Amino acid sequence: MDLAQTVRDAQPNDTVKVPAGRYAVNLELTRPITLLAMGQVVLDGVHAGSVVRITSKDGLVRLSGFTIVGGAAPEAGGAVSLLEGTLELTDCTLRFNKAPLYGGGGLYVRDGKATATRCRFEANTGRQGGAILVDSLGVLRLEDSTVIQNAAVEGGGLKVKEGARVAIVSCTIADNKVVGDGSTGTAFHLAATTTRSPTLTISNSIISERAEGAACIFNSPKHPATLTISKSLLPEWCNALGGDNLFTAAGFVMTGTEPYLLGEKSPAIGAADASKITAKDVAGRVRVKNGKADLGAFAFVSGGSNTLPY
Amino acid sequence: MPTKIGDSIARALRDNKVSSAEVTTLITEAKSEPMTTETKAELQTFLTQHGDKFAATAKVDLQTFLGNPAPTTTPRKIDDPAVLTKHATDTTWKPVQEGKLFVDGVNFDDVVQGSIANCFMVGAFSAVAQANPDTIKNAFTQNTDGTFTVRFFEKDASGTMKPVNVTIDGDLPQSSFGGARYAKGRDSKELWVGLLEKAYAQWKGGYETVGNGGYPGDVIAALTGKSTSYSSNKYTDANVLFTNIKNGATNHRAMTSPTYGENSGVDYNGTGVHAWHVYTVLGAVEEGGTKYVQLRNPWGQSEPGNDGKDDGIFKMKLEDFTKLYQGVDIGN
Repeated sequence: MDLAQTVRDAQPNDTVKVPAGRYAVNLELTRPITLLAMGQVVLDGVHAGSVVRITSKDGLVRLSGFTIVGGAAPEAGGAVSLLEGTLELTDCTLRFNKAPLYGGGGLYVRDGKATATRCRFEANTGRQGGAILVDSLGVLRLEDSTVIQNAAVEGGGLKVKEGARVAIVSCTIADNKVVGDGSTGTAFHLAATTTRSPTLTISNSIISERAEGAACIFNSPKHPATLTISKSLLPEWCNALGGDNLFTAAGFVMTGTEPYLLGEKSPAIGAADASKITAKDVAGRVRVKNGKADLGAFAFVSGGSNTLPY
Repeated sequence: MPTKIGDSIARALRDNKVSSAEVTTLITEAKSEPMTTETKAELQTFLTQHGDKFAATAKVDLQTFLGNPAPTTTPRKIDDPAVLTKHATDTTWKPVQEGKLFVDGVNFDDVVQGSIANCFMVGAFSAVAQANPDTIKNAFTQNTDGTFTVRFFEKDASGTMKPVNVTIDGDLPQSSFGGARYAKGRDSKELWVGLLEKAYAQWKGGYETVGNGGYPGDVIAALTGKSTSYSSNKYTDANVLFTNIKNGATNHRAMTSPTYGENSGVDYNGTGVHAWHVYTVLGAVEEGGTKYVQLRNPWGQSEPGNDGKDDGIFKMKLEDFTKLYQGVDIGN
């Protein structure tokens, strides 16, 4: 299948089923469309631009089931760049993408509205927001997803700036890092301007970073964002936040192919607000059992990671 | 008996408004022969009695010419935006001696990028200056206390572009070597480039905020109040691309173009074009049946080929442009 040509030929609101395989593409989506991966489908940007760039003003773009790699954005959004319009990203893995000129190695949201559900953002790099950069008036809901081992100068995991609004629900944010001059905010880097301020709300999630304080969660003291964290597990140094959060180590198994699964003694087990939890975790497993649910992207499974395919 | 300069002053006052162009004419006229005490006195009286009728930049131009320039800075009433962390210990803030907001108007080639990773921004400044110099000129108001107010635009929650006024003083960051730390005018006495960058940094939270890359379309929109449209060179027919750029230039649209990254498979060795960089697109021309795209490096130097002067301005065959550049952002 010539995927790029198929996409160009598609009518608005068409659904394109993409057969299993590896596709070297830099797609431009200018109209609403649904792209469904039928089996293991890898979209590889071959370092020649964003893998998927969306400028569809009206309607919805859906991407489901893809592994997106090798994106290198001209400006922002190595894997996926949403400049305007609406995007639903489900069951996708965004890995090894970069946006060194600006940011959002995995995902860039500018004036659009995006939801990313059961997605994995891993080992992406960007100048601002290694995994994700939400800018201008962009809106993002990140749910049942992981943001792990991404890197940036500002915001190894996410950068939220300008008037952007981001909600993180039932996610695992872990082991991201920052590098370079003035680097800060391994997990998050939040920055308002003199005229508008972003918001970031986090719930039922786990944040587990090696850095502490502003080096981990940077909220510009001069132009701060509105940051609200509830019912989540955070490092001990965050305990001044108080509320209904837990301040302790996450207790990941840290072995096997899924090292960020919850270990048997993890305090995240059963600690989530089950009434606000979705049906499936990032790996597609049932979340609520006996009226209880776990914090973070992964529902606890007995036996650790080695029993699971990756 | 009315003097020659007196006649020109009377002409300038006919519509009860004194524009920059009229003051430029007066200054040119005054410079055309040794200035007498009478001529200087007439111009001074003109300025004193009719100062309220002058456009902001016109007033400053005449004040400067008469040797009594408006103060370019005030006691530190306005905090300067924070410089990059790595420059915090060897940067000083001071006004540019004998600096003028505009020297011979606004020109795209006034813009020279400094030691900060904001090619996206200064490339866009140059693009707007090329498309419509008055957009830059009208963005500035020189206040009577020596400060400057720069008008930008940003979208409000309803998506409507609304003006945002940012006031700064006239100090600019200087490196320990004495030169401008960040963006500057090609003419070191021309201030608008450094002040525009400073105002943008002030607005966005500091030089660190704008020195970590960005989106040129945002800067163009902030200056013009209009968004941009991006087209990928990979998926746009070359002739359509050429026409789009040509029309963009004709219709005074600001245009920029990013290059690919270093590991993209595009080989920049020996091309004179830099990877991971944003260039200003000046236009498109056809010469002898060959189509070219005209570009400018916001560094104000370093260009492909050898056209006799290394000013960063060059033209490139369309086919090469489509290979070396990712796409074009064109102002709407």
